[in-house]
Amino acid sequence: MTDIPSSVPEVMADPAITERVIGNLLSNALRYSPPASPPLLTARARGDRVELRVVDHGPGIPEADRKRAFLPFCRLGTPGSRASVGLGLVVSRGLAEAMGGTVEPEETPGGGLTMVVSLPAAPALPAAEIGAARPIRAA
Amino acid sequence: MNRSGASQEASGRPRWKARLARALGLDDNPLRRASDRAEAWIRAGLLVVFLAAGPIAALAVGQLGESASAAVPASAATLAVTALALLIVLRLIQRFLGRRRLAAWEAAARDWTTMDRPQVVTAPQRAGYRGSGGVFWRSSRAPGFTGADIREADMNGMPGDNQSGRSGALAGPRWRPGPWWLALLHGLASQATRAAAADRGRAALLAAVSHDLRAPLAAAKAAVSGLRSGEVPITADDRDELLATAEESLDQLAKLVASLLDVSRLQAGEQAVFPARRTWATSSRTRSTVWDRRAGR
Repeated sequence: MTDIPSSVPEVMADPAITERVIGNLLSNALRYSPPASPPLLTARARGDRVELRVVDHGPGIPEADRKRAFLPFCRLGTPGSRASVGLGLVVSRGLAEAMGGTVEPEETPGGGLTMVVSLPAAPALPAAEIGAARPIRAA
Repeated sequence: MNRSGASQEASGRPRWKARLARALGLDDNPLRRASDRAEAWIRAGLLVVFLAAGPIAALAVGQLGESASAAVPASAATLAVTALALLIVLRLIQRFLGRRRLAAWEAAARDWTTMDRPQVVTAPQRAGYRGSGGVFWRSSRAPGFTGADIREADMNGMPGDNQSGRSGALAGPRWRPGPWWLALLHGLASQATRAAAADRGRAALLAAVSHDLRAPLAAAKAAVSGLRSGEVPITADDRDELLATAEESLDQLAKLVASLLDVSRLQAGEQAVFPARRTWATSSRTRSTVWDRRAGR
């Protein structure tokens, strides 16, 4: 499910890297979401940034473990679980930071995890260029 | 090749000067701490005193004549011996502290590895406190262990006792930048352990990911070997299943290698970024593709 209003401004980001960050977070959300409650994608403008939220209603991550989840090779699943290598969140955050963005975890109201990707909004174009601007198409 | 060019470093500094600076620990290596530099200056000074004491004494005797012929050489000899003794003491302190820290690290690693499967965490560099980072063996069962603590700790952290029930790097005393003498001792100790810790870090990193690298590789190889073997008749369903296993395993392997390369590039600060204006309308198409692929639709 998505909730992305058309009024959300453009962002200044590398298209390929953005796709990888979102793909990683979606992959995690789908892995832990119950079948009856698919993840939700939202985007909102906040000041000079745009926040994308990947909201799931899975088991979530306890507050004490949230920072640890972003460390390399950290698996927060049950002991012995090898569902992931423990690099996805590290790479996602690193890639987002390379674009001047951030990735932060939040608790989903009602239970679950929300990953917030904050990216810098693109500066407003001069009026003369608005007509000429073309969105970058992903391959 | 131009001979004069060969004797110059890229920066234009004569090669012998660069080598001497490296040997004395006074080069511009960004990983060298201020304490290392202080220690290197002290050592270089003591060496100069030791080497120069004799010639200076001879010069003084020549200038002052007979009256100083007995006293000056004796003072010079005392000075030289003192400088030499100080050099030796510095080296002994360095070796003693280095060994003590290595032993503590090894003990902590042994304790933790018996508790749980060891995992490796590289600690980021602390702001304003240069270092080569560190590698920690940790146990997910160790109480009181949080990510914040790992980020806080670094190679300069001294593994403490595991008796307290906390992970060692957190419970033990830590060397922090403080008085100059503490910084100097810290530099002496860390210099001896840095190379060994780096080697051990690489080994531990390999240990942590070796299963994740080997398991899919073994599965793919077994599947392909099964397909090629003519000893057992394979049905069409078996063949499809083996091919699916091989593909899935290789995908998993490719993903892991890509992630490791990403981490490596990010840590080295070499991730190439080409920012462009991007609308969410554009990304929604990408998102649908990703979404469908992840969901297996």
